[in-house]
Amino acid sequence: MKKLLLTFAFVTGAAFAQTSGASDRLAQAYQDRILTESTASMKTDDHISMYETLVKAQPEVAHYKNLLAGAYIQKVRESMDFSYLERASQIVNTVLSEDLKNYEAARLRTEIALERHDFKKAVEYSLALTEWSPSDSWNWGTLGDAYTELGDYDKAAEAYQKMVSIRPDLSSYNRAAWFRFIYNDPDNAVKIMTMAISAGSSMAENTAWCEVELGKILLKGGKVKDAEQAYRAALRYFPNYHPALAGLAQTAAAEGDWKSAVFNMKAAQAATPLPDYAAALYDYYTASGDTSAADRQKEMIFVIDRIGQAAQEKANRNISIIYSDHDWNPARALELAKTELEVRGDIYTYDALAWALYKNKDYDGADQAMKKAMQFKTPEPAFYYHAGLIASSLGRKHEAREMLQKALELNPHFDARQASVAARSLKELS
Amino acid sequence: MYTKARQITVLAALCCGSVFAASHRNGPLLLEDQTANLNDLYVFRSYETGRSNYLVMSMSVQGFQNPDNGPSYYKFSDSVLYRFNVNNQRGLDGNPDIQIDFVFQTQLRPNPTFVSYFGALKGIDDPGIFLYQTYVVVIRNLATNTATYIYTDQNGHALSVAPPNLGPKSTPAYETTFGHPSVFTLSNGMRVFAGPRDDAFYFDSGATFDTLNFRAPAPVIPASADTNTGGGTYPNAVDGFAGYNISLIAVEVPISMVTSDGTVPTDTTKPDAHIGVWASTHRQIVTVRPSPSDPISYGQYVQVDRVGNPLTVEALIPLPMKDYWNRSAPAQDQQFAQYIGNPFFATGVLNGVFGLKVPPAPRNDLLGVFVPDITRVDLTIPPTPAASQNRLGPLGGDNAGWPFGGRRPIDDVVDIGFRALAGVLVNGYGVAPNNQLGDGVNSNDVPLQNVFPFHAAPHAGYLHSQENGTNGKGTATGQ
Repeated sequence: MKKLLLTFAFVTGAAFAQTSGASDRLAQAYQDRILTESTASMKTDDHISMYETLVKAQPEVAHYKNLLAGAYIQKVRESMDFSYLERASQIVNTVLSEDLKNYEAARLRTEIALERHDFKKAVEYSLALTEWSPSDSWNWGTLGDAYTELGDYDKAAEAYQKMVSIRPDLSSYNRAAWFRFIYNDPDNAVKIMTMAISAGSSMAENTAWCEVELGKILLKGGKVKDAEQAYRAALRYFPNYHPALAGLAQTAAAEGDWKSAVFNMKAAQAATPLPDYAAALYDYYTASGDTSAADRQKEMIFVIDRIGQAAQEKANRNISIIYSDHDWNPARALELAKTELEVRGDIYTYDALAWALYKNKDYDGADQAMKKAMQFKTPEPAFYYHAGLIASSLGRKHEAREMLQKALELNPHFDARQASVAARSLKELS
Repeated sequence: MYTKARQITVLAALCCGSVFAASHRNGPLLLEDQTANLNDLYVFRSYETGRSNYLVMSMSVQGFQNPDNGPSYYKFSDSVLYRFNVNNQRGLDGNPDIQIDFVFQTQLRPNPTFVSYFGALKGIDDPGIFLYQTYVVVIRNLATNTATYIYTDQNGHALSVAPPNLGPKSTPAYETTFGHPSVFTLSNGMRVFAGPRDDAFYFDSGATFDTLNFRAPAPVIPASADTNTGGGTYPNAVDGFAGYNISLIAVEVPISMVTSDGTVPTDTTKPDAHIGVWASTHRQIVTVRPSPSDPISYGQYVQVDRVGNPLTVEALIPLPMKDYWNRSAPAQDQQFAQYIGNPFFATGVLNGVFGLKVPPAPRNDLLGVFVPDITRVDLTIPPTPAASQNRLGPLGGDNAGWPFGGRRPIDDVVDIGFRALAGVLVNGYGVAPNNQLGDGVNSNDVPLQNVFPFHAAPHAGYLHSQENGTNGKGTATGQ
């Protein structure tokens, strides 16, 4: 925008990086705009190459380092390759060690804390930044993110409301949409996520991410075809996007098309071998009768866990859920969920804990944890399913029926493996 | 074949140095807001034959559009409110008195294909246009607190966005069949247009980006290359915007509709003879968590971007204040004067590198134009016919151009800006070489139109090429 100044910006920055004080600030502001505009259509790897070149050419310019760190963080989003996070962290630490008042680096430090699941630190950083610049919507976003993960939904809502009131855009809309879903308002969640998508981003992955989120909300509500469209749209924005491929696999599985489900989930796994994808493939292969392929996926999940343990990883609710779902290693499932609770206290962590406690036959403990998971009546079919089985184990048959019915009403095929267990349990209760 | 060994290697790499993806909801945080960003604002008295008592305002968004970017091409955002703001009172204080809003809605027709446009299209309502947009125009008079909503033209046709220019097979005779029919006359006499156009901005961006590697003789242009009225580009210079399209929103209103007393002013000394205009984009606030005490789901619109002059001050605003700047009205711009009154380009570049003598700070000549950041129009200046216009506007003796008579598509705001920053509007500084600065690109890559909406037809996707560095340069549009 305002292209003439952008050009001046580039001139200023490229030719006169040795400036100081106000002029230097102007140079940075100029460069921020011109670089962003000129790289808008680039892929993240190209961004990284460009910024690496700039950093080498002008190592004294902190702004270039921050841009490079930001591109590395974006790369983590796209690839889940956390080695990029380490690189970003080193850059940000260097910049802040030289200039503690570098605002850009301070914002990035918060993002890195979030990626590392250091949510308490992210709250601390974000609060400081909201005092530094209360008009910057970014800071309210990271604050809301951290509070959400910690389970402090009141403070998260307050932060997100400030964020969206300052600047309604893809960043704030997608958070508002998810909050609506958490608070059992899926219709408005869909509307607001659609607004986020319409708002768009110069980074294709950002828009694709929102399409995937839309697909998730739709699929949880049983709108399989609509979800499929959202996942396909995500792939148009960002080809080979692994969560979109995984979403497509889930929609295929919901329709019993195991061949397509396997095809797409394998593609997702080839892009990023998350344990969730291996677990889904285990279920798909099992459903289609290929037990040897299923066993290989099971083995991979255990390998992932062992690698995690070797890396001193104690908390992982995803693997906890996978173990509980499949009645594998319930003690480890409980350990992973309990330690996750030390890091964050959101409803999804309480659900994982409740499910692990149930599988370990601690029904009262499971019941208490499930109540926390269900505090907002979030329309998660799995929540209702878990709540139903827990209620059943405690002899509350009426409640169990209601919960299981609700899970299946939301989406009768909410999970390739668990949906049939829910249906069978409901039948036994009737 | 994706082997187990390779998978484990990848897993190990993923685990290295961090917790393994026990996911959290890491929603994106934007550095740049593509759909709400405004590129350029144009405001001028119409120079179309017989329309001199009309004011034209147009804004461009989504710059650098590749004409062949199918299958869906470019859309206006359905979640953005695009607004023209007119200030006609209180000495142009930067507060709006009249606003004209455009709100878009994407529409779909039954589509048996995977593309958005198919076949030889015969007009703007062709059923082969599977994806299109309609829009509502809202005129707000803040003095009377009234709003008028307009959904159709005077014949009842929905206001629709012009389709993209795909090429001679799908969109033959583009301007006749699609461009001009997308100009709608409203029942109140206004005309409106929304759709793709050639980007009228022209500038040797490549040379400047290459660390001031101007193509000789720029940046000091000899008289032989400086005296034309817009035709021609200095032989060595390259228009970096050639061949690209933008999305344009344009409106033509009777001048009497935008003046405070409802007349067409004739005396420049009268307060109603001048108006200030800026464009802005807005999005709607949503309630994150509804409660019985605050059940509103969708609240007011808030401003997310604005543009007044081509030499915007937005890039001057430090990062922590950017959201604040974008939300604020031009009436509040005085607080940003510290960033504007001492432009580094003038002192650091023009003086520091090229040794030009430039006026000392504070640059009140610049503050007068940029604070508040609105494009000023003296409505008593008669429009210059297209054939007689000078790309340098007032600096070339043509007062109907930027910055006195608004801004027209022909105005070479780069050269005017270079010279203005060098101080040519300040006594004693309008001398060589200050008044000879330029980038060498003196006109748009394709001819502008002399009828509404004035921007040239969009470049056709079929004809677009980035081979051999042509980037569509010189390709005729409207095919």
